[in-house]
Amino acid sequence: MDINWLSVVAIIGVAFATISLGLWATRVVRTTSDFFVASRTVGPIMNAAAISGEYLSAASFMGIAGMVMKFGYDVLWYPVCYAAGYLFLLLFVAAPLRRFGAYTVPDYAEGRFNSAGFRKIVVVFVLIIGFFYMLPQMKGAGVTLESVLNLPYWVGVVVVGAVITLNVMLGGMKGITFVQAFQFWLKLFAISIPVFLLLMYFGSYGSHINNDLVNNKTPRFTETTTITYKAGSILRFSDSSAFVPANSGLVQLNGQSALSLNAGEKYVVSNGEFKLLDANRLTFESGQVVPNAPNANVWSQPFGLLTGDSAENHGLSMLYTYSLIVAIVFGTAGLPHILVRFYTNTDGKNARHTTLIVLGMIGLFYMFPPILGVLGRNHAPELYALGTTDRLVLELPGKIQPDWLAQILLAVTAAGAFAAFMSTFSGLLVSVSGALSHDVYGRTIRPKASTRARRYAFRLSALLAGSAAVIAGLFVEKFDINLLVGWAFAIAASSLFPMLALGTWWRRLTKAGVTSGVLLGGLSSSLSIIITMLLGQTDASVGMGITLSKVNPLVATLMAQPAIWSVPLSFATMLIVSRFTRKQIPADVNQMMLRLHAPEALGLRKDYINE
Amino acid sequence: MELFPGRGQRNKSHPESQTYGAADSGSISRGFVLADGRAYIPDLDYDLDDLILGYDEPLSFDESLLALTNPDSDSKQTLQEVAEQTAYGKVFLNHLIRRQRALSLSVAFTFLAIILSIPLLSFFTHDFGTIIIFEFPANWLFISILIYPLIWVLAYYFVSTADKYEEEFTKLVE
Repeated sequence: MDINWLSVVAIIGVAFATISLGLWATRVVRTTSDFFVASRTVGPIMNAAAISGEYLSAASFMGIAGMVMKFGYDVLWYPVCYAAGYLFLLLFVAAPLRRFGAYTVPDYAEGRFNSAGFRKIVVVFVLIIGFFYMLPQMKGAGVTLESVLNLPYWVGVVVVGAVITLNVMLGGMKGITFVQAFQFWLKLFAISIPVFLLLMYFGSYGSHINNDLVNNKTPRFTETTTITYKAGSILRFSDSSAFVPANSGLVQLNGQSALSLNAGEKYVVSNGEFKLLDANRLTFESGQVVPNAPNANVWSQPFGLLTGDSAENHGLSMLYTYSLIVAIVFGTAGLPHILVRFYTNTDGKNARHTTLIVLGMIGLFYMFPPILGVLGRNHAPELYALGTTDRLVLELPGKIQPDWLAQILLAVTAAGAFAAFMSTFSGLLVSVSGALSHDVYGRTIRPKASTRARRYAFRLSALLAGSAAVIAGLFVEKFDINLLVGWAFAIAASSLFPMLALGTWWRRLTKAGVTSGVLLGGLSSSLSIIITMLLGQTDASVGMGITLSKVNPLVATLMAQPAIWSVPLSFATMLIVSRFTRKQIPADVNQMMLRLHAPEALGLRKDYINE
Repeated sequence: MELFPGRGQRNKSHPESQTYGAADSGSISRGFVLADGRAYIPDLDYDLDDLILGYDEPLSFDESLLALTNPDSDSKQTLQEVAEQTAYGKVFLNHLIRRQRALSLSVAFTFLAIILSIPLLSFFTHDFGTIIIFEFPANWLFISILIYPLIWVLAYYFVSTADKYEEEFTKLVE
């Protein structure tokens, strides 16, 4: 594969612009407050673009399109809920959180419940959520550089991780507010322009879906393609196809006894599952059915491959769908790296207006990635066979004619993808390093540390967290980006969201209630996700723990998508335990409510932390 | 006449109220006497029930709130009462919180009812996935395009209403 040098230039351009903007902004950074929350002086439009820029991650820019191509209709819930999450953030969290006037979610936890101990528990969940969310960004980095520069996966992870970590260490939050805002516009441009041009070239969005729906069309190779497979690769054909193996080797049909393939002979296969027992290179002629492409009916309709292993059991698929919706919608309102941005608004009213603008911005953005997924099924079907649908956004623009336009569009989407994981990773790193330096160091280890020492601690934390993310990022190549992100949301939805929602709107929430709710919801969801990850490792392409789904599909679904039980569990625990510990309701709870809800126009309250 | 009647039954004339209860402290037990002589003791705390069904108090601010006689004579401004969280001040803040919460919950439930009914529609009706509107199957059209403007409209309604509530509150206490 040739290297598209235009893409290389675009990626370096984005990296250079990001770093130089960050460095330029550093000169303006003076105080600790500047460093953490940009001195709370960011206006709504700038802040909204920065929030959107930070939020639209590798999962949104690359992951959704690839997953729509791979799984079909069900994946549309991801972008819908990514956007709808901001509605819930707006309704229950945005303005009161800003009014409370703390720096971070742990600050809120300690301030609202008068408990340094509870703060530590919340810090742990901030770190867990941040860490889970960093992994898919690392994967995005690895895949992008692999696709554009032909570098091994690990090089992308290490190089990008190092560059961003350095940038965060130098700039802090103020450094990235401008940069995040800039990157939002870059991403919107980088996805919308290619989509418009591709639609003009290939025909309308609707007609492509109809192709599948009405004509039950199966993806076929658009050109003769040779694909290298490792031993043990599985090829599923939804219709009869033919291929020529380059080497002799054994193959297993539908799990039965092994047959041998002879090099250079043409094999016609009917629909079914083939397992290559030896590594091989298969050549498919143009027009042959693509292996591993889902059947059109399954793909274009709800309750397909994403939501369950068995196409027959739609009840479980619906359960999975609901659980996914709950996780993402409530999880967004509990994401620490997003919530920290709300403190940068000037007041609570502005926090609401900012969220409204964010909803407009990301709502617009999320209409585009599914279009690429639909086009990809028809025009880049070889990605199914290669198992690299995650790269769709980086590959599809190359299918357009003339060639010079294809090269430009490839560079544009490569730049967008780079901006996507770069901005989200920066934001996460700030949030996680903030938790480590501000909460762990500044509050627990050395409360009397000087400003200078705190800033030093922040940089050291960034270095530690960045390195940890790079190392873990090397091991997640097999997982779909959105699957990883979805897990971070599920944990946030079961731990931090209930704390924020009840803490803000229910004054009888007690320390014992909130602690037990956060622990029970957060730990049970984390545990079931980790078990799913470990059990499902053999075939992570299917979004569930394979071993477990064979034992009990209901349990597997509930563990792969825990939010549907863990979120109610967390809320119920908080309500019930608070009921039994009424005496613990802090005496100053009304003062808390005043601080959370009184409009700034009254001039009553001060920020929880001033300088 | 009731000072805090149910929604839609509010009487516009102002009751002549008096203070009632322990006059010596700002304790919770203090309440107000309504024009018809009945005691009104505001529920100053939230409870489990009103977290779910918190709609039984008036959902707008008007002069009837101010008609509560300030129990600590005229020496304090309402704003100060709110700031110091006296029983009188709490009534005001609680109204704001309840109103906002009712608004948030109603928008949330509206949205959840819509979004959670989509999988049900797909599950029980075949047509939702096969009817073609503007080239699109209905389920694709709704989930991949129409839902975004819908979310924004709900958010816009919430933001403008919440702003309005706060302005009313600010005007009333200042």
